Amino acid sequence: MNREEVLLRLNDIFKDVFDDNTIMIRDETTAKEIEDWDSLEHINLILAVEQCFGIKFSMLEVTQIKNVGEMIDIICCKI
Amino acid sequence: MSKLFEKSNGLIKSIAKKNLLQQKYYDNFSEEMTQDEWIGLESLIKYYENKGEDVESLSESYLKFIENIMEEQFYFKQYGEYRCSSAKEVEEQFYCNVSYMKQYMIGLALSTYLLDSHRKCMRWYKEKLEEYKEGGTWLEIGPGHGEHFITAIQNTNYSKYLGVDISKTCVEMCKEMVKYTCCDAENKNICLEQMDFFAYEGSLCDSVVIGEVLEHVEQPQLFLNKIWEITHPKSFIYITTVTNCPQKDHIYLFHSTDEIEEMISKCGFEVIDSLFVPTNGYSMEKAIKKKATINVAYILRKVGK
Repeated sequence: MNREEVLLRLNDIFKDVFDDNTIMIRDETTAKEIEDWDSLEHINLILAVEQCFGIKFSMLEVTQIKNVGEMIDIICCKI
Repeated sequence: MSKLFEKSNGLIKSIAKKNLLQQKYYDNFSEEMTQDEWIGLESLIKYYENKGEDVESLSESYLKFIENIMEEQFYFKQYGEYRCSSAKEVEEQFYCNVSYMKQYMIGLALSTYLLDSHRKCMRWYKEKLEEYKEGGTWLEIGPGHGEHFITAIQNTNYSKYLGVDISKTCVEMCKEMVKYTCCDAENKNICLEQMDFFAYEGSLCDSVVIGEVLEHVEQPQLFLNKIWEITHPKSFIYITTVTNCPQKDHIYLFHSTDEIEEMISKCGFEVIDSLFVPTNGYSMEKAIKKKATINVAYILRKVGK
């Protein structure tokens, strides 16, 4: 799976977790741009990503991710 | 206003820099705290600096506190229960670990100001103290880092303030805090003891405070039963606890406020006032739907059993 494919799949996860079909994520997208993206939804998001891609994040990765691009980088390393 | 409080601002900036979700939360934070709260936070930071900490180490402690909560939230989301279910597990895994406890207690103390739910509960507590300013014995069970205990000493006039905690470390920490913050309370009768609350055999208490204890014990109803024994119908009884709040040393899971109130009623109390503060600024409806944490504070009256 290449980076572009990961981004597309991740976008679907974001739409589902935040219940918003208009979401279009990009590498620069941060929590500031998605209103409901708080600490609790971050956990839901991470769990959904782990399940979808069959990976596990470390707690350091969970708390240090700065934007979608970094999330994709981690996913690509783990799959 | 916040610009006046250099250390507090420095701490918040350090936290926000290291964690993007915290940064989002703190973007509009300056308007959230009252001047007294800014003064309290600034004083707390100075206290810890006197003990060898600095803004960076304090921000690390607070972020570790938050990270630990997140870690337990992951577990809770997957399994619907707290990871630990006995006092023995918590004692072995966490309370015996001195460096963990030190960092944890710092994070917890800072959360009194930095965490919305803790701040709002403390604010409500101070308001309610105005109605119960005088009395004989004031007892706090598990004073921990001392915020409730010190607030009571500074704002009321009781003939005796007694804090009891099973942890020697907590008692020592609280003593230090009281000494640092209550310099003008030398004429007050303040006593902090390491003891098992169930061994208390003193006079009936005009006030009992038990803040953030019930979720840390295996049988919270036993604590409520003992409180019933040592209070009278006019006593000020103040309890705080939480629903659906996974933390490393939380043992007893309250699933709902109804569950808490049922226990309160069975133990011979009625609720005369209450405050519910859902996490993350959620509405009660959203918090209940998402099984998110709700911090609760109750003022109780002893009634018959």
